[in-house]
Amino acid sequence: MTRFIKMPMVNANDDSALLCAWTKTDQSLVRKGEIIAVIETSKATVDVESEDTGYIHIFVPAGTQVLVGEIVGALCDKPDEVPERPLSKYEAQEDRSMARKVTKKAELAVTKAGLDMKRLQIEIPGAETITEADIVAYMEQHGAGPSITEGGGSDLVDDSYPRNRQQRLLIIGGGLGAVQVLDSLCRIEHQRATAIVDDTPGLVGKTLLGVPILGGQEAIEVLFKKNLFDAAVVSVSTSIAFRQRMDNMLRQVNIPMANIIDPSARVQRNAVLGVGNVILAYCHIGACTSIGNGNFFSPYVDVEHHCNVGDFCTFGPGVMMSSLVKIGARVKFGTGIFIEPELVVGSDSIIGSGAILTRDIPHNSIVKTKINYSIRSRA
Amino acid sequence: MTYLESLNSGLRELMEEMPQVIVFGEDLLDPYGGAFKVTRGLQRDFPQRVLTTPISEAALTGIANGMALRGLRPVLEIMFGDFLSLCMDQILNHGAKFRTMYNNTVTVPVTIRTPVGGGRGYGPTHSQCIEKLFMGIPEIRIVAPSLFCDAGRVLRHAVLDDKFVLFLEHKLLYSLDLLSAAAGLGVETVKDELGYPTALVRNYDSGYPDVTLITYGGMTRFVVSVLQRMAEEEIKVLACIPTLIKPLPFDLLRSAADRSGRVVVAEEGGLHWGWGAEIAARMQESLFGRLRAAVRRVGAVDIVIPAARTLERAVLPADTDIENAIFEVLK
Repeated sequence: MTRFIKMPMVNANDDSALLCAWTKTDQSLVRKGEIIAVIETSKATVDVESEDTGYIHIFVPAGTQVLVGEIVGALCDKPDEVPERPLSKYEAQEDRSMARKVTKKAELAVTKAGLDMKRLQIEIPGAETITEADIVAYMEQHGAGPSITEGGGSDLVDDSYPRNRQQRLLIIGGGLGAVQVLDSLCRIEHQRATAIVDDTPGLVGKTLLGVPILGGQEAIEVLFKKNLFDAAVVSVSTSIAFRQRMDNMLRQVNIPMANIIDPSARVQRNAVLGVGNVILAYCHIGACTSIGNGNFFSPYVDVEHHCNVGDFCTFGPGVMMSSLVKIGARVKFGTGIFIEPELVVGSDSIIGSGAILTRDIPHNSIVKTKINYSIRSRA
Repeated sequence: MTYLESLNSGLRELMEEMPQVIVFGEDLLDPYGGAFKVTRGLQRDFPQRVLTTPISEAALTGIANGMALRGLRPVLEIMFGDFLSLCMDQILNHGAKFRTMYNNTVTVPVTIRTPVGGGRGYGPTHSQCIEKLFMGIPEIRIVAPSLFCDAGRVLRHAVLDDKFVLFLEHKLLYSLDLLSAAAGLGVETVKDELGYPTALVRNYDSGYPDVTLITYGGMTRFVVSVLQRMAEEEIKVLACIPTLIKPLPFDLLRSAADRSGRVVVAEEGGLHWGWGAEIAARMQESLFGRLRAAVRRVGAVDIVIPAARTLERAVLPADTDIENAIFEVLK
């Protein structure tokens, strides 16, 4: 059996000691208690006794400064036995795997974007070290988060900016909807409004919740070229046609659109959102639900799991749909509406407040609910 | 120049210039020159003003208070910081209070120098950083020079300070060279409003830091390696290193923290109820809503410090703990 000889700790103040000399020759027989080596600490020269009897194998030559606890030799039972020398602490550290290094910053970017590190190791060409810039370049090339949202819509804007920067938003429309959007932005960490545009005469130069109104629609492209904002969002809840027009216009001039999601809203697993959506407080977008572009969700709207919402719909407060519901495009919902599971609501329809939908609604329909109640004076 | 040499020459300069400076404590006489050799050579050159004393820390502190009341500038060495507990009453109920109790007619310019900290396998009663026990005492100052300042000059400032000063020297720093510059790091020193230096060390040239590291004293021996390693990981770190640790030069700390919004506070003393806790509390009071992550503390495990070196290493905070905390606030 091989018994290793370690550099002893002689002085509490020293992490290492000098191995001055071996007093036995390599592979000679050593008896327990015999002096085998001389070491020197910062305070004294000390003889090292053998802790056992055996044939000595010397690993570390005399004259070496050795860490306390390091293996310097071994004792074997037979003279011709060759003990395997274990890696020293230092050598063990040096011998780390040959895989490419990924900087911690790059690793954090990968985690944040939900990318697959193994895949990136293969797909990012070149250098030994993968840096944050490599990840950013990869995402620009492939779109953000290809590993998890492949095929789905994604908000490309957010991830192409440095992490410590907020996305700067242009709010289109300076009315009551803008107040709601700005109110949510107060609580959103990664976005802030830099400007508002509104066509109403007399508004230019004024501010709304501290954000300046800089012009009408014609100003949008100018402001973008001046790099005053990164993405736009339409705050007008009342006019579906306006939201659609703005969406077309922004796409034509390649201005990105952002989603506004109040921090109190929950967007669940595998839900996929387009762009230009406003999702206000306490909304719930269920798992695996898909939302198109340019929708406006008032507070407390519940789009349950596996639903599908088209583009440019407006939801009043408290619209509750069950699962697997399909909503077409440009549908306008009033307040307090319930929708049964698996129903289809056709495009361009209007659903009045208080409706309880129990069957499919064809395109271009108007659903009105008659609620009978009387009002009398208390007198 | 090493930390030790800087302290020794700082003391020597003071003694040359000011006859009121009296240096005393246990085993200070040459050729021994003190347990850590900070006073080596002083007794030879100032035999009347370097005094060796019996083992009686409470009495020594009382004597220092008396000397200070009568116009001297005593510099008392307590052989190990752990023994400051014996000085407690003289500090808490006397030295710290005389000025106020005697209606500003006296000052108590005592400096207590003492080596603190572990890492040497000295065991439970010779390895501690117990400064947190003194941090709540009004009036006194606690000063802990780092490697990024001239320790001797800081000692001079402490001795000239009219307040009662606890002056903490980490034993692992004594043999290390002072760092006015280090490979790839920017080092800048600013004075706080009481004249003590705060070092700002960074591992980047431009832009804002990702993380602000606030630390002092012995923990600064890790700063260079941590910042260099973080640079390899593309993480920009601004280390803010005050020498006056109580009262805090908080404006400096806050502006350093505000630059990144992510704060790691590292100290060698036990993690809880300490310096880091105070800083974390004040950061949230003054930067609530501007912080991007919860303030993270690094400190020792709150148990008795073991003598076995491997166990001691497991208990005391080190560079990897700081690095992990940095990664944590970035998540």
